[in-house]
Amino acid sequence: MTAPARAAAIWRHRLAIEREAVGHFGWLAARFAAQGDHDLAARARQAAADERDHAGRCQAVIAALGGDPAPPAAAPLPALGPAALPAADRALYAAVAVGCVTESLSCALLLALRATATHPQVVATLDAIVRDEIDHARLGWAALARAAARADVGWLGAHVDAMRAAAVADEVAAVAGDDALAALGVLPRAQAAAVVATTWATVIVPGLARHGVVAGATSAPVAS
Amino acid sequence: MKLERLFHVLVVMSGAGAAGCTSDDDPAARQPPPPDAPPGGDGDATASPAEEADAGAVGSPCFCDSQACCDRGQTPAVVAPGFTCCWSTTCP
Repeated sequence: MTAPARAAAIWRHRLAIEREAVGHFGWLAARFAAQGDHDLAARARQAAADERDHAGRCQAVIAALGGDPAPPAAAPLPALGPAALPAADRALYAAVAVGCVTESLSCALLLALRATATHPQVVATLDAIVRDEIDHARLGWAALARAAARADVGWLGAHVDAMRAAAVADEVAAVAGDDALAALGVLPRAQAAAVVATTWATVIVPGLARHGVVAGATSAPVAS
Repeated sequence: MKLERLFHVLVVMSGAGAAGCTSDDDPAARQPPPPDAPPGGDGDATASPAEEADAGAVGSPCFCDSQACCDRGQTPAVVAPGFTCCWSTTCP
């Protein structure tokens, strides 16, 4: 398989993730609105619109690389968090999982991609996406900060490792490939793993701790 | 890649709006939280001196393709006073 074809395959995976993110942010917007956090709801609606735009940009890159830009078949949106999680806590779980963990990792990985990409359309796409991803991560951190100001959110600590595992499985798979694809927006796997480890240690863990969430804490969730 | 800025930009500035610009002259961006505000707040839009230094040497961090960050009266556009480009962006 040629380098553009291998890169296009990874961008198709990225396309699927962007489409799923539309659903997650749309769900979050509805939950935030229902609980009266209208500013967070507005930011989540914007994030959903951004992700829709990102999906279109991914399709354009796929086409430019000679791949099939048709979107994958829509899959049911997975519910985030364990089934036993009280409904009242599920929105916060989702905001942390999507914003604080996944989008924060995405920001770091996109910045690393941006540093090595040279294909003009890939560069322009990465610039557009990373700008929005910063807002999406901030949404998660803002939601956590607000919830922590209202109640003890330490129960999230028991779920952080699962959030990380899910994010890494998606995010690293979406950006990592063989070493020859850096110019086309794909990171070598070793570099992607290093970025994830650094971001986890320097951004996510201290960010969570800032709001009383300690990764690996075993306290049970309490309905807020 | 300036990963060391990411904590400040994502976590500390989580209360900021769009990832565009805050001006040194924007009073809303510089006001400290009210004395009775809970710690952590809704994202600390204000930053400690150490965190300000981490954000950039001069001015507020900014994606410099946004309108507010660039003086487009000149050709090529230059970064407006009080702002600093970050994340490898420049004024086009």
